[in-house]
Amino acid sequence: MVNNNRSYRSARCAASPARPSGGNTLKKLQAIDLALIETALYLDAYPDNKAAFAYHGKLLEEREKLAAALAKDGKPLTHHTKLSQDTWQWVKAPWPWEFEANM
Amino acid sequence: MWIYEKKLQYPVKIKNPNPKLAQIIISQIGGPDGEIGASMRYLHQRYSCPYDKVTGILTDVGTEELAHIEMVSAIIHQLTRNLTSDEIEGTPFATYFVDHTTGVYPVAASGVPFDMKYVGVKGDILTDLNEDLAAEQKARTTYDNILRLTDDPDVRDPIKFLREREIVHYQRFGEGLRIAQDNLNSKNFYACNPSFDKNMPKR
Repeated sequence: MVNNNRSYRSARCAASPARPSGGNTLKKLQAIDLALIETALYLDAYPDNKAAFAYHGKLLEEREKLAAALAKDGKPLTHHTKLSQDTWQWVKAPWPWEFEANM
Repeated sequence: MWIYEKKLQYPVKIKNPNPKLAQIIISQIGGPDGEIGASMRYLHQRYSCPYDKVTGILTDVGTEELAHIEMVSAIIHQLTRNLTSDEIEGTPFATYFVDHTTGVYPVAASGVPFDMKYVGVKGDILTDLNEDLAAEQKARTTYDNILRLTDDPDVRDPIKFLREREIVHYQRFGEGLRIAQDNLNSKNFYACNPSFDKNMPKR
């Protein structure tokens, strides 16, 4: 039931999904955020694992680029995202649960 | 506290509405083994958790379950778009529709609204982690049953993702249980409750 190595490997697999995420920035961000949460859950149990910690750092760098690209595109992820226009883009449709937000 | 990120954890892109299927899948929001119960269980258990690593796991899995509530709600929302009364009348969805139209209201497929009675917080970390292991398996079985009831690939895709996450969470809680046991007397794990009894080594 408990296997240290397998859980760390699953985080690395998540970063290279079997299905290609295509050119879509949002899908790439979702893939990398999955790798991030897998790594975070692993580090919760093994906070001193240097390799996992370094991997987390590398993922964060990649993630920043993708989040910045979305922000430039007028799609802020949180209230803390720097806006790309003089308008509160936060309330712009579509919302994440709508079909149009997932195309 | 929580920050909301304006994206789903995993895409939900359902082309074909199907209210009969929505009426089944809604159990993973408001049902006994659904995502609301999961998030409430883990987020509430963490307050009496005596070990930092396990508190981290409970916080992080509990937060991820909030994102899963949103994903299942997205599935329900997309399955109940553009409906005609023909698609509602005479189906099990009609009894949901009369009270909620196509709003997303947390109930089980049986129509019973979400109940905190589904959630255990015992204030004893060994007990709580065992509850969590069982909860993840019950959620996995529920997703298995949903997969038995549809062959729409647009629905199966996010459901399979959510099912995989349950299995991963089961592994994480297993590690949490081992961490808790490593901190206790190996001759008798149950000698005392580290969250309550005095003179117990904490952290």
